[in-house]
Parts: sequence; structure tokens; C-alpha cells
Amino acid sequence: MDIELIEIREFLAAHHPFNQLPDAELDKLPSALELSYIRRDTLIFSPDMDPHYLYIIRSGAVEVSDKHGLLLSRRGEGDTFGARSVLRGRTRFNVRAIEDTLVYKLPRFKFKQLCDHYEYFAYFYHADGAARLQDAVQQQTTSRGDHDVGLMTLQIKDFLSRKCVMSSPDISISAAAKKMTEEMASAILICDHEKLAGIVTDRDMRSRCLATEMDSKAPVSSIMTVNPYTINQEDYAYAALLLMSRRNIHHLPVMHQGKVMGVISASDLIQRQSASPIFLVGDIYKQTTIAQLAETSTRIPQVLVTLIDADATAHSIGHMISILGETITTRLLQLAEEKFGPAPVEYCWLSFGSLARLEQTAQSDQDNGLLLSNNYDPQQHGEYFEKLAQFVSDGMNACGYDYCPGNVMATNTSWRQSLSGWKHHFDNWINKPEPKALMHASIFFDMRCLYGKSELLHELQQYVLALSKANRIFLAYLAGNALHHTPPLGFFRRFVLVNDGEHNNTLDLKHSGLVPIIDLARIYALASGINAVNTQSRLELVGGLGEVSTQGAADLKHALELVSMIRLRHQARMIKAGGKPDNFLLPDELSNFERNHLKDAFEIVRTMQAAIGQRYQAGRF
Amino acid sequence: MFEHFFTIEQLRKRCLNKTRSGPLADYLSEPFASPDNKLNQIEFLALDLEATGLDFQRDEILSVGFTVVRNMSVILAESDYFLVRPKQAIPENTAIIHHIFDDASSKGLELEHALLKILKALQGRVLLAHHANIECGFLNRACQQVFGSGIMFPLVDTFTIEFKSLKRRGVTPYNQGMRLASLREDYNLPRYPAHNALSDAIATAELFLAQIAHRSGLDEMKLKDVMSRC
Repeated sequence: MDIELIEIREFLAAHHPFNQLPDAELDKLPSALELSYIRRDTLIFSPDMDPHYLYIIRSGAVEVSDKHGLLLSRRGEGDTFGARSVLRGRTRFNVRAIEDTLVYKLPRFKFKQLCDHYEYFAYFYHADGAARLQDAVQQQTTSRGDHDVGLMTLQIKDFLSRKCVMSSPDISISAAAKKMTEEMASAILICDHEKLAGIVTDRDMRSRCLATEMDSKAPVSSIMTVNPYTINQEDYAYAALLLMSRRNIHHLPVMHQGKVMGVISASDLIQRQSASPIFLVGDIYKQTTIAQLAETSTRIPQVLVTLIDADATAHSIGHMISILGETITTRLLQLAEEKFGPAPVEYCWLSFGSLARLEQTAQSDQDNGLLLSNNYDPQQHGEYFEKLAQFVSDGMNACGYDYCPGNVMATNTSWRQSLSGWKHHFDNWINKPEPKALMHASIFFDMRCLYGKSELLHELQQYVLALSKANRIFLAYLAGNALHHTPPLGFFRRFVLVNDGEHNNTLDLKHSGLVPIIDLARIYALASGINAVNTQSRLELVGGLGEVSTQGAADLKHALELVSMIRLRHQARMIKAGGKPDNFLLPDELSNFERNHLKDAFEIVRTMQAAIGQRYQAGRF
Repeated sequence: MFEHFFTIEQLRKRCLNKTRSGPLADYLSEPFASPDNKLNQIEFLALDLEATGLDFQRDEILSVGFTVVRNMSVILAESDYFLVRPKQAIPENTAIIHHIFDDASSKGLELEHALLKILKALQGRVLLAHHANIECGFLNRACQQVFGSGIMFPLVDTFTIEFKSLKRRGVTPYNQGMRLASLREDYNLPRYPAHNALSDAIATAELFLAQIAHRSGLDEMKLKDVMSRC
């Protein structure tokens, strides 16, 4: 009997995780369902009940809260609830309709059957979000040829950006030439009824038309290369390069399942190579003026996109982009020393924040300082370092690293200090902590020497760690600050659901995603006397040292990688669209995969925040 | 009307007396659900049918879809849908509405076979339909043709439920707003593609659940509070 429940089947097929079920199973599923209508404000179940169903929301919305009434999540169309209750055999939460709601109810035995048969389905509802997240992050990273973003790993389709220029065989040579000029294309594909017939390049125009004095009114097919060599869009870029050099040609039509997708030229391949970070580092060192450096640094966004397309990990992308910032700083300091002469005393150029942590993605504000040897005498040397700082800061600004709005720059005398001056700063922050001052000071605890005498920084760091490790009150203040930024509860429809039940339109990937993890890692590191500043390295080193369990640190590391990767993809999309990358993501941009794993990541961060809050009694400060 | 003086049980017995033995008499010999029963103790058969036109004296049933409401939940496992073979060709102007064409229709059930399925599903249940006089008219006429006399059943009409409550509130119902799709929208129910007998039957069942959920005291509500007369 063919029951026509197609509409319900289509609804299920459009929603996760039902869309993972095989067709035959989806066909049978609607007739297993029961349907109920729940009026707004009706309690659907409460803790400690015997669960009978997995609920699938067809229309309307529900709110999940714990037994104390604390909001846990909101669910809308296509979301499910009650799964964990069925798997545990007991309900744990309150679920209340907050709108008039129509639900499909999947009976318990049928839901369990699906979980037994389809591993993915069971996995989706598995209680251990941390394990799920770990798998997801590993799955994303295993297929990567880390660091290698050359022609070996990129596919032809990664190069197909502009639309391809095509014409029919019967237009004239001059019309074809006109079209190529208008579209600024060095080749035109000749297609006969959507089938590729030939190709005409700039070189063919010269050697087959102009050089032979052929009438330019003749059909373009008379000078085309018939049945040219082609390449598949799934092929790797190096294969195209090999074919081109073997046949001494510069253009290849790109095909996909017999259809023309575009054309790729030798210069497309070479240009892409130049977007490799190694290439760019070399170029930065060749520049001799700020204007040239500024011009060169406009290539950074493209490098970012290339790295993301090549599936590098967020960790290594942060590293490479930060190295570019470091190289520009170094080059500016070299130029400054050429201009103003060698430094009168030893110094160390410090960077703070993301550049120090090797976590830069898009260029951001500059945060820097000068750490000078104790031989520094403001009377004697002050002017030199003021000019040096001004030169570098202006140069950074010209290169896209905007002036720091909080004035954390070497141009500010507070942050241009001798070693003892800096020790005095840290003394104040650590031994006489004030919440407000400390909030602004936290970036100083992530510092790195970009240029100059790194021993100076090393000495300062040892001093800071010895102070901070011993000072519980200071750590408690830091912990209190770290709880200011909390991850959201999750998503509700096209919104981000935050703790107080409010909806935000966008997810702030920086402040509600990365900052809480970075803050936690910083406290663990300072409390454990670890001098690493990169967040991932901190998390790898602190596990099991007493501040956080090995598992807890590993979970946070996975959360960091996931959130970072989602931020990078978001920024790559913005760059590709010609915009300036930012941190504000619309929930609609997320795939099901990302949405689900982000929720797991948020939960991990919330758990770790709660733990540190308790450990340091953060509420008391 | 005269019939209003009788209980539905009395009417059933009168109807049974006029019916010759056979499947229809068997159906009528079972007592109907009591109007004093609470709604969540009653089983409903939400039913919709598509026909060659709207005139049940002349037009013919083309397809039937139904589903069961038990304990105020729609039980999709007990739904059914089938085509019925008409005697005449399907007029083109109605085919474009319900998308049932002669080819498919010729593979449909004989009317008698279709009625047997409906009688079996209806046994002990209350018929649930939107604007039920179409369903009542066609079912009655079909029974007269096949079994020689008309049919009876307890009925709940979602149209009437809405109509009465609007009247009580002093609102004049207008035709467009009383359509199944518009009422569903009022109750925050999703849009379904119309004019498939099964999806309309399910849509009607959902509307009924919504109507009852919005009329306070589900626990106290009895069949007689929502029942209509055929």
C-alpha cells in the first residue's frame, strides 16, 4: 500500500539528522509518526517522567529548562527534543511550548531502532558532545596536507573564479577578438551547441590570423585549435602545469562531466603560487619603502583565502598569517634602523594580543611596545626610540594594522619602558590587582618578541610567571574577568540564543567564541608557570598540571580549532565577496555540521568556565 | 428539525431498521460513541474525499484519504489513501484541481470495495471532516447506490466548530477565512499542498487538535460539545 505522506517525508528529508537516513528508511518513517498540537505555554514534559517519544517540531517552538527553571535551549521548526530522555529512560528537563506548536512524535521503540541501525543517527544524539567534537575536528584535519598549499594540493576548480569567455564557431575573427578584449581574456572557447569545438588564444590571433594576413571577417573556427587538450576540474593543479609544459600550450579548457566549466591559463597557476605565504615573506624583505610594504601587504587577505582553500588547520593558518605581521614589523624596524642609525641601547620590540599568540587571521589593530635594556636613559636615548616607535607604528598602520584605539603602542611612553619599568607595571597588575585595570591589562600577559634582543623578554617573562603563579588573588581577578565573555546557549531559528534568553542576529565569533577559550588558557598558563603564549600550545602544556584536567584541556583545544576554523571560513567568504573580514557570523551561514558542533563547543567552554569560576570563587571579586 | 428530538443512538437504530442485511447493516449494528464521552476517550476518523465535482447527486468519488485521531494525537500509521474508479470520464476542469486523471483512476477500487474499507475504518469512530456536508453527501449517496440505503455516523465538523465560536463572539464569518488553509494559518499550523485527500484529511485532523487545544478544559470537553448533525 502506497501511503501518500510525501509532504511529511520531504520535511524530514530536509532536516538533520533525518537527512542522513537512507531513502528506503525515510519512505517508511512518516507512517510511524504521531502528531500532536500543543498550545502555547503548555508543559510538554517535566523531569523524572517516563519518556515515550522523540519529538520533532513541525511548526512552533519550545523552550528547554532545567529543574530550577534555568533556560537551556530553545528549539524551532525542524529541531527535535526528548532524544536524550528516551536514551536515558527518564526525562531530565522541562520542555514547554512557547508558541502554538505542531509536533511529530516518533515512538520510543522506533527511535531506538533507528539508533541501533544507523550509527550516524545514534551519534548525533549521543550525550558526549566533547567526544563528538573531537571526532569532527580530527575528521576535518586528517585529509589535510598541512603547510603545503602549492599546486600539489589545489584542484583545478579552486582556480575557476572568473566566468569563461565563449562564442559560437560562426562569429568572425574580429568579433571574437573584440569579445576577448572586452572581457580581458587571453583565450576564447568555441562551442558548438554547448559542446566544446575548439579554442582560440592571443597567440593564435597573432600567428594564424595577423601573420598570415587572413581576412578578419572569416569565421573564428578557421583559426581555432580543434579538439584542444582539456583538463577535469577535479584534477590537481600540477597536472595542468605538466600538460601545459609537455604540449607547450598556455591554456586548457576545464571540463566537468563532459561540460565546459571554464578555462585555466598558465598565469592563473603562477599567480596562485605567489599567494603562498613563503613567497610573500620573501617579497616583504625586498621592499624598501613604507609605500611598497603597504602595497605588498594588500596580498595578505589572498594568502588567507589560499590557506583556507588548501584546508590548512586554523592553528597553522594563524601561525602563518602572524608570521607575515611579524615580517612586516621586522622589515619596518630594519628600515628604521637604516634611517635613524643603530639603536643606542639594546631593545626588544614586543607585540601583544593575537599577533603575539600567533593567532592572527585578518589584519587587526596593532598592539605593541618597546622593552628597553636597563641601560636606557630617557634623557639620552628617548628621542631615538620615540622616532623609531613612530616610524614603525605609522608603517604598520599603512600596511593595514590600524592604530590601537586603546593606545597600546610603543609610541605611548607607558609602553616604551626599560626592563625595570616593565617589571614595575607587572608588579602593579599582579600584586595590587584592580578588576577594571586588569581587564585592559590582560593582553600584556600574551607577549612575544618580534625583533631585537629576545633575552630581555625572557627575563621579564620569568619575573612575571614567578609573581603570577604564587598570587591566587591576582588569578582570581583574572578568572572573574574571564567570565565576562560567555558563549551563547545555542541557536534558535535564525538567531543566536544568549543566556538571558535574548536573541542576537549574529554570533560574535571573537567575543563569544574565541575570547573565552583564550582567557581560560591564559589563566591556566599563568597559574601553572607555563611561558607559552599560543593558546593551543598553552592548552597542550597545562593539562594535568593541577589547574585543568588533561581531558578538559584537550576538549578546549578542539573547541578552539572548531571555532577558529568557522571564523576563518567566514572571513574567507567575506574576502572573496570583496569585503573586509569581520567576526560577526549570521547563523544562516552555518552548515548543519558546523551548527551542531558549535553547540558542543559552547557547552565545553561553559563547563570549563563554571569550573574555573568555582575554583577561584570568581564571584567574590 | 424533527430529527433533533432524537438521540444519535435512536437515529442509528432507526437507520439500521431501514437497512437490508449486509456490510452497512453490520456497521450500523455497533453502537456509536456516546456523546457524553470525553474527547480524549474517543477515536476519530478524519476523512477527506475528492470527486469529479461538488454535486453528490451526479458526481462521483475519485479518491479517499483518512487518518485516525486517538487520545488527541494523529496516528499516521493508521492512515490510508486510495483511488476509486468512476463510471464516467473525469471532467478536465476538475482534473486540474485534484490531479487525478483517467489513467490512474482506471486502476482505482470499485466503489463497493472502497465503501467496505471506509465502513471498516469508521466502525466505533466519529467522522471528522472540514465542511462535512460534501463528505456526508457523497458517502450517503454511495451507500444508497451500493447498499440500497443511506448511512449515518456521529460527526464532528471543524468548519462548524469555528463557525459556532465566531458566532458566539458576535463575529460574522466570511467564506474565505473559513477555508481549511486559512483556519490552519490562524492556528499557526504549517501550509500543506491542498487537494490530496490524505493530506487534507491530516490537515483537518491537525486543525481539530488545534481548535480543541485552544478551547479551554480539554479534560472536561465532551463529544456532545463539538458534535454536528449530518
